[in-house]
Amino acid sequence: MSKILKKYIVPLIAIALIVSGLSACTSPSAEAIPFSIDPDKTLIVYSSHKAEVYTPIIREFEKRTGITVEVHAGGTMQVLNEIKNGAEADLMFGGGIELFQQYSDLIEPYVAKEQNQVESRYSSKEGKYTLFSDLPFVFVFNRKLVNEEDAPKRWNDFLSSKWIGKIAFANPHNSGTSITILLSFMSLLDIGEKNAVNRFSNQLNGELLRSSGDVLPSIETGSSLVGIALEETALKWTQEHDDVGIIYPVDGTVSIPDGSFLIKDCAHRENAEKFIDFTISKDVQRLLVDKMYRRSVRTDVEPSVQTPEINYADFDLGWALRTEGEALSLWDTANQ
Amino acid sequence: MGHSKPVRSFNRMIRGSFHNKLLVSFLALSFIPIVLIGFLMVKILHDNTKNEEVKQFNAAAKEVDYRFSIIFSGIKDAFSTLQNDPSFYTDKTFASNQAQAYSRLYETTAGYREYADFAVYSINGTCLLSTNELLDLPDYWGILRDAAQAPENVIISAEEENNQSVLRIAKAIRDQNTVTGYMVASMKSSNISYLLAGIVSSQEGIHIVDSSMETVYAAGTADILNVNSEIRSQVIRTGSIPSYLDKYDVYLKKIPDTEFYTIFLKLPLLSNETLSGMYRLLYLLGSISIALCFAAAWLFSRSFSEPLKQMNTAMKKVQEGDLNVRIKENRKDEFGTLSENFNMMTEELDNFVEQKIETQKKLSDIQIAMMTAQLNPHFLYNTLDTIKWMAKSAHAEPIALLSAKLARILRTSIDRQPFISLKEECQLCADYIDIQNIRFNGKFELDFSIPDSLYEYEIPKLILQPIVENSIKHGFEDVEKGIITIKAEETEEEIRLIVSDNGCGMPEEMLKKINKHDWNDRNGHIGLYNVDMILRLNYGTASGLLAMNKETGGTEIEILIPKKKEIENV
Repeated sequence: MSKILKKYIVPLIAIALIVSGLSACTSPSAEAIPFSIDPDKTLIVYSSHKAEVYTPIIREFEKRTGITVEVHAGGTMQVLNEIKNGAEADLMFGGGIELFQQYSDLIEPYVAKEQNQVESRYSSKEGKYTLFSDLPFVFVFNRKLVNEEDAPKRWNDFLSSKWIGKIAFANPHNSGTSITILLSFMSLLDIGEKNAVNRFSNQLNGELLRSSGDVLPSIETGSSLVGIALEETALKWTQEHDDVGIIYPVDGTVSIPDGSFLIKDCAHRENAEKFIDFTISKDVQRLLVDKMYRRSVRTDVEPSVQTPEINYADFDLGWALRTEGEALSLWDTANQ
Repeated sequence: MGHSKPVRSFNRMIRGSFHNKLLVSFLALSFIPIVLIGFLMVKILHDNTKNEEVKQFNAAAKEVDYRFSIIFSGIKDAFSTLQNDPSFYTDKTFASNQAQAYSRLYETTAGYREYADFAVYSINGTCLLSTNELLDLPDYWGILRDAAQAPENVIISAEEENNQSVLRIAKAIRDQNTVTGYMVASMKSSNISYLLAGIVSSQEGIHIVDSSMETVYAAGTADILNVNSEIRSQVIRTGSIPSYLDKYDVYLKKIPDTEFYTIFLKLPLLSNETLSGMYRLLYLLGSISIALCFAAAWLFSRSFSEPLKQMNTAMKKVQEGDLNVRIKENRKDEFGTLSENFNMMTEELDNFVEQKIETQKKLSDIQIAMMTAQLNPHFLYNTLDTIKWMAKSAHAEPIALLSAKLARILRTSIDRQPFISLKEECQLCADYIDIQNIRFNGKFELDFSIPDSLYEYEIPKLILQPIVENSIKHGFEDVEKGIITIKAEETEEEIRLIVSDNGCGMPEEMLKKINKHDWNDRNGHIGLYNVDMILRLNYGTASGLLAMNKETGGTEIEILIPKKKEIENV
């Protein structure tokens, strides 16, 4: 009996165990398909750009460098917070540079290769960020309901009584763009900051849009007559819709550029640097102008023939940053 | 054996217990085959369906490759036809007559225009001719840049345009090594869908990616499209593609002569739920089988071990001498037979022992009868009686007294009654001494120290007289006055009879022999031997003579007679 045990049963048990082990292994998801990407040739980009902006740039970057890029896209604040909370990210692509200030401890300074080709008073000399595109505000109006000669040409034209309740404006509590517009009024109208907010707020007559994305549809449909929008958004809208007209402010406009920055202690630093270099390369900057209705930050890229030379107002970005909170509280006081 | 410790202790555990042996055998016979066969069957089923899937995938991938190769080579042919067609392109420029150029373009690309739009671009990307809308392409970007950099090659590349991926095939138009323009065929998603129609079912997904896993073309349910982006993110994180993702089997194959890969997503023929259901069933069967094995092993081992235990206990009792043990067993199987045989065996043994005892008893009776017969001459007694009466009539009183005492001794000996009172025995001894005193002129004295209460106690006859006789025969040769004392004591359990003398004492050797009841050489001591035998036959081996030499000289012989026990007639 014990010999039989030793000879047959113990091996049998062993076989049973092996077989059950084997069948556990053969359950799916074990084997990998022979396709691999060199882990050194990857890059993780967090972007607040829209897909139509980042996709062509990233795909061209992949083709030219052989680096595979993973994109995590979302709203600027959302993406920045994800990075702050320790998301595995190599660089931030997109977002107004005024927002980067609060996240300076996430930033790894880097001066892009062709930084000398970029000329902007907003450039970071220490390489805290690298500019990507220039995004000036323009005035927009409904071409059917407003004659072009009657449309606002200067910032204080919005204070005219004829626009009371007819201005498309998003709630500044929801829209960073709206805060910048408030700051522009405070800075450019020579009537005192508080007065400027109060006067503009009165002009709205309580009509507020949910988000800045609603500004152009509101004017297109005639719900509002005039408004202020980013040039990029307005140009793209007019490509596809007929009823919105664009006016470049005569007394100068405000522009807050967007940019990119390297993230501290990122895993693919070299690739991230290559990407930042690429974002200000002549090819990308030309594409911005040719296909994306944006303005280049490079001196050697001609603006699109469709867009006029722009007249920048004297707008202090540092002041704007410091005053953001105050602008909101002035707004709240005016709307009590 | 080179077995490791755990194996050895495992073997010992199994061998040590019948229950464990049974359990292991049952496991080996039921659990292991079930589990083994079950797992093998599931595995074979799984492998077969997997193979079937791989076959289907390979067939589909081959079809994809084939259709792409047809369209690519067709487009390449069209490009070279147009390049070499003087009515389309000549002298570094396209036909000055636009209508003529268009007609050549349409003619040449006939048969491919369902699959691609064709366009001709100037050196700086201005669209000169197009089978669709005239849309400029940047010459510093994408396909035109690639074509400019490798003007002798046909470039196949995927680009993003208006949030849609477009597969483009481009070739630089050259005039003696100078690039003068580009011919581009663009395949949009709809074109590729048309090209790949019917290859995959609606339940499956097909995904064409470039070497960076960027989507060139994707078709399938929303689910499948989600999995596509998940695959890419996994490739970036882990460096490779999982073969199974979110309930889909994933297959990948490179499309020859391109930098593209075909990925198929397919719901497994044998879904994971089915598979895990099968495994669950197997585990259940296995568990049931184990439980049954345990139950069966327990039942069987109990049905084996209970009778064995009974048998064991019975055997022990037999060892201890109890032959009346019987096993109660109504089973009809081998155990029943075994028990029956055991019972028969003990019965036989019992009978045998009884018979043996019976024989022994008879033998003893004969022995006792023979012993008493030595002292039983009737004739002598009658003669003595005659002498007594003759002496009386002749007024020879001493002779009459002598013969009367001798006759009394003889009568006591002749009497068939084996037991007499202590008083009678003492009388016998006194008579004997009186006779001897007549012979030896009163050399001997017999004293009694017996409580009155013991005189009526019954003892085997003739157990004191031979001791007294022994003293006279051997003890008093050098003694002037031989004094013999018979003492009786009563304890709770026994009567002690002590016969002592003041003689020369016994040799040590003799004492040892008596105390060991070693009567092999009983020469000259036949009387003591008889007494010892009678005592031991009557009261068991614990009884018998105990002899010692007194310190003051003389011998003392002790007889222990158990009191309480009824005297058995052994």
